[in-house]
Amino acid sequence: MAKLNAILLAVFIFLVGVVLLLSTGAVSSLQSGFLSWVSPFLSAGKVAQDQLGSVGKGLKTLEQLQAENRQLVVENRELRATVQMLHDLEAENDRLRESLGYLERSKFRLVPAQIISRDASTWWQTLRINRGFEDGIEADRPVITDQGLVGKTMVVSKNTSTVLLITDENCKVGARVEGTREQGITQGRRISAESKGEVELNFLTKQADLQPGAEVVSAGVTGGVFPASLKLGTVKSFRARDLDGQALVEPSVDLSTVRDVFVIVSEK
Amino acid sequence: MKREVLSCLGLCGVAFLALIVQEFIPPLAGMGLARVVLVPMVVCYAALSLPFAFMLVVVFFSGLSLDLLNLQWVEGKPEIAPGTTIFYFLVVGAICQGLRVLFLRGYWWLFSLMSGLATSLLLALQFLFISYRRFDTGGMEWNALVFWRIFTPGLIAFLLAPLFHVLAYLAARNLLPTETRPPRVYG
Repeated sequence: MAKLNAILLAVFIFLVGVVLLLSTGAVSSLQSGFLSWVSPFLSAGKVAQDQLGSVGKGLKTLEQLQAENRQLVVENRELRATVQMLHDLEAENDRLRESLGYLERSKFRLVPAQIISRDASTWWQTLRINRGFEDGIEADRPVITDQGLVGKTMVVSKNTSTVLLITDENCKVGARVEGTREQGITQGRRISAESKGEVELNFLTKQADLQPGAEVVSAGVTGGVFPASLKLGTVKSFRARDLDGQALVEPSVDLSTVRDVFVIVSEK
Repeated sequence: MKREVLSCLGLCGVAFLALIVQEFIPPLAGMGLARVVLVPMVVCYAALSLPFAFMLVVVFFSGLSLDLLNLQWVEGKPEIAPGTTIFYFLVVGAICQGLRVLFLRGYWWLFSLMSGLATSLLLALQFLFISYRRFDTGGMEWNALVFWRIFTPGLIAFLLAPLFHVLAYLAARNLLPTETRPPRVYG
C-alpha cells in the first residue's frame, strides 16, 4: 500500500509540475475553458441570488410601491427633458466640430453586460460579467457605465469575463485633470483602513495644487487600452511629495452598487 | 472501495459547489470586507476522511479549480502561478492524513482546527505571493485590514466545520448505497 501511495504521489507531483510549467498561452486557454464550463453555474448562482434578494424586495408595501412609482414618473420627465437638451447640445456640438474641422470625436460600439458577481477574491478588486468572447469581447477592453470608467476586461471566456476594476492596484490608467495641463497615472490603493475606494493619481507636478472636485478623465494614450475622455472621477485631495504631486480621486462610478455596465468592443 | 470512490466524487462535487457558493457570498462589511472561503474546509474534510489516493484526487481538483477561477493576470502573466494552491492543499492534506486516525476515532474538532488554519494560511500565502510580486511598487504593507481579511475567513471556516461535518455525515448515511453507509454515530 505504501508503494502504491508513493507511485500515486509521484504521478500527482508530475501533474502539478505540468500545471506549474504550462506556458502563459496554455494557462490562458485552460482558464478560459474552465470559466466557459463554469459560467452556467455562475449564471444559475446569479439567478438564485437575485431570487433570494427579491424575496425581501417583494415584501414592499403598496404605499412604498406607489411612492416609488411617483418618484419614477418625475424622474422619467426629468430624463426626457435631459435627453432633449442633450440632443440639442449634440446638434450644436456637431455643427461647431464640423465648422472648426476637428477630427470627429470617437464613438464606440458597446456591449451591455450584467454583473454576475463582484469582489470574488480577497486580494483583488474584480467583478464578473455575463458576456464573453461569443459576444465579441476580448481581453483588455474598457468597461464603462454612463457615469464613467469601471475597469478593463482581464480574462474572457465564452460567456463570462473578469473585469479588473480601476480601484485595483494593478489597473493603471493614463489620466488628465480637466481644465489644467496636469497628467498622471491612476492606480488603485493597497488594502488599508484609510482606503475608502479611492484611486491615486500619481506623477502630477508638485505645483499642481488641484482643488477638490476637479474632474479627472482618461488621457487616451496612443496604443493604450483606454480611449480619451472617459470620466474617472473627481479629485478629493492633493498633496505635493518630494518629486511629484499625488491626488486622491473618488471614482465617478460607485463600484459597490453598479449592476449594469458596457464593454467597449470597437470604434464605430 | 465503492464507498471511497463515491465519497471522493461527492466531495469533488461539494468542493465545486463551495467554489460557486463562495463567489456569491458578499464580503463581510464589519470585518474589513473579508470573504468567506469554503474550499479549504472541504479539502480538509476529504483529507481527514478519505484514504491517501482519493485525497489526492480531491486536492488536485479543488486546487486547480480554485486557481483557475481566481487567477489574476498582470502584464500578461499570472500574478500567482496556477498549481500553487494544489501544492498547498497537498501539504495540508498530508498533515490531515497524519491526523486521520484520530479524526476517525472521534476527535472531530481536529477538522475544525485544520479548516480554520488551512483557510487563513492559504490567504496569508496569497498575500505573501502578491507582496513579493509587487515588491517594486511597495512590497508588503501589513495593517489591521489585512489581518482581518486573513483571520476572519479562518474563523468562519473553524465555526462552520462542525456543521459541515454533521451534514456530510447525514448525507453519507442517507445518500450512499446501503452497504457502504458509515455506521450510525449521531442520534
